[in-house]
Amino acid sequence: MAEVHNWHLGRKMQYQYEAGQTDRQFAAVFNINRCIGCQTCTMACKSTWTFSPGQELMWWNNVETKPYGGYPANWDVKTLELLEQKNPDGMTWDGSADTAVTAPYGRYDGKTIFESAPSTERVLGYEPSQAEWKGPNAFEDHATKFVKDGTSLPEHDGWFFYLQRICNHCTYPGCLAACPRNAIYKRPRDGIVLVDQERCRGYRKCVEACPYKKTMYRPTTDTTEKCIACYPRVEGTDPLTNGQPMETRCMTACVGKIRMQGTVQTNPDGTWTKDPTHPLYYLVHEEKVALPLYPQFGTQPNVYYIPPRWVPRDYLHQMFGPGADLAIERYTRPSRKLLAVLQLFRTSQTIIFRFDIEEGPAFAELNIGGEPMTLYNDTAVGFDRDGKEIVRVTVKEPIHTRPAKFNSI
Amino acid sequence: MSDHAQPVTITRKPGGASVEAAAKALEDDDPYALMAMSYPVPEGVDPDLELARCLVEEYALMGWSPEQVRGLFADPHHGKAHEIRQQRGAAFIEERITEVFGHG
Ligand code: SF4
Repeated sequence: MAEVHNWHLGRKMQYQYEAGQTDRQFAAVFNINRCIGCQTCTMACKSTWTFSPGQELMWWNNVETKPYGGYPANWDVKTLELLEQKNPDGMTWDGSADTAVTAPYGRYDGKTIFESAPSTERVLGYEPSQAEWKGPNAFEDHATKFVKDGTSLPEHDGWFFYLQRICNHCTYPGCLAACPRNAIYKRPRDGIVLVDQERCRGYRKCVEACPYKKTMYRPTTDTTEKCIACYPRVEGTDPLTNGQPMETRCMTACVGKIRMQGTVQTNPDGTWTKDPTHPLYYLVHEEKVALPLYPQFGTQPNVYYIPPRWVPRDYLHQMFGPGADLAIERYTRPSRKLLAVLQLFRTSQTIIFRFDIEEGPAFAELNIGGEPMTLYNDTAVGFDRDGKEIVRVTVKEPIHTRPAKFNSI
Repeated sequence: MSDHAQPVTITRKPGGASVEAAAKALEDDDPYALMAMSYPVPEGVDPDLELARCLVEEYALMGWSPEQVRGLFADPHHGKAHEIRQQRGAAFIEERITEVFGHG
């Protein structure tokens, strides 16, 4: 066991291996507030990578309905329960939120899945059953029982939201820690976590250990497969972007424009190198509007979520940690700059490495959350890895109404 | 056989063997049942109000006009927004629009 720094927890923690420096780290921000649950992302991934025999139950990208859905079924409830058993009422933070990038959410008091592993294991986990992998959206969003006289289903009366999930390409991956064959590795160039298919023997320790359940066993090859972060695109080998790093299939296909992906620069201790003009750094560290999923697991995941503003806070605290209140406050009444940066989501397939904001005139006076707010028609500009401008978008969305006389529907 | 379950024949592959997917009528103790996790609305929260306010604010922040936002709630293609208007009335929506835009 080694001691590593986990900035989501604001403290050092025990991990199987020493921290290794990556040149950059794959990362993404998903704005849950905007997801329409269309599953275009899911199908973009499926049709690219997991359409072959033995991959039928594999959905590297899935979108599940919370609070009652999950793929595999109940994955998060089961892991939370295991962790709760090991440290009852321990999943709390000390409330010392800091401006430092080493502890932005304060210090986690409880134990991680590494620190609470049974003595015979490296990681606390479980292997989902075959039945749990079946039907990624079973029982979600639709009635499933034939009832003669009809029935009304209560679940949508309250609240729900869609949770978009891919491999988090964690800084301290559970799968990698658990593999008895060292078949799983984290690429130094971009922190993408991959399974060496030659070395993998299908022991499935990674399936047990990944708390997000994003490593999946393939019976036809007797190996584990997982999201590869569309690495040829991230490397810039797709001809479409002329050598420039490109976002993954699930990101670029997003109809709701909720996703933005890139790579961030990291320090030897796994924290992000200060870069306020990088859109992901800006959203995660400057505005603190995007948060890690279940940070208490301890893997330091690299997909960040803007939490859904209408969901009860206790649920959000459990899911995204203590940063949820500030994130919702900042998202609901965005700063002038944040509002402009949010426009950059899904405006370019090429990865945006830097943004700039050009100020525009005031165009609306609103009352948001009971307070006056002026909207400015600022322009957000995105630049590629080489500093070339790739996108330019205004806050006021241009709207074109199709005249009735040209409407051919 | 009840009205609810007609036998359906699914052919797996062109020319392959076919199977009957629902040859038996569903019965009340069939395990094919709704599985839901209940998480109640907290005390004092009006979910329609929360969602209507959220929708108006999100679209207002994109630069939409009050007319366009009003149209969103009136259009049955926008399922949830329209449902709130149907259940709570047009005046309820107008109040939310006025709260955010200060005028109609
Ligand atoms: S494509 Fe985008 S909007 Fe549609 S389900 Fe996926 S994340 Fe949500």
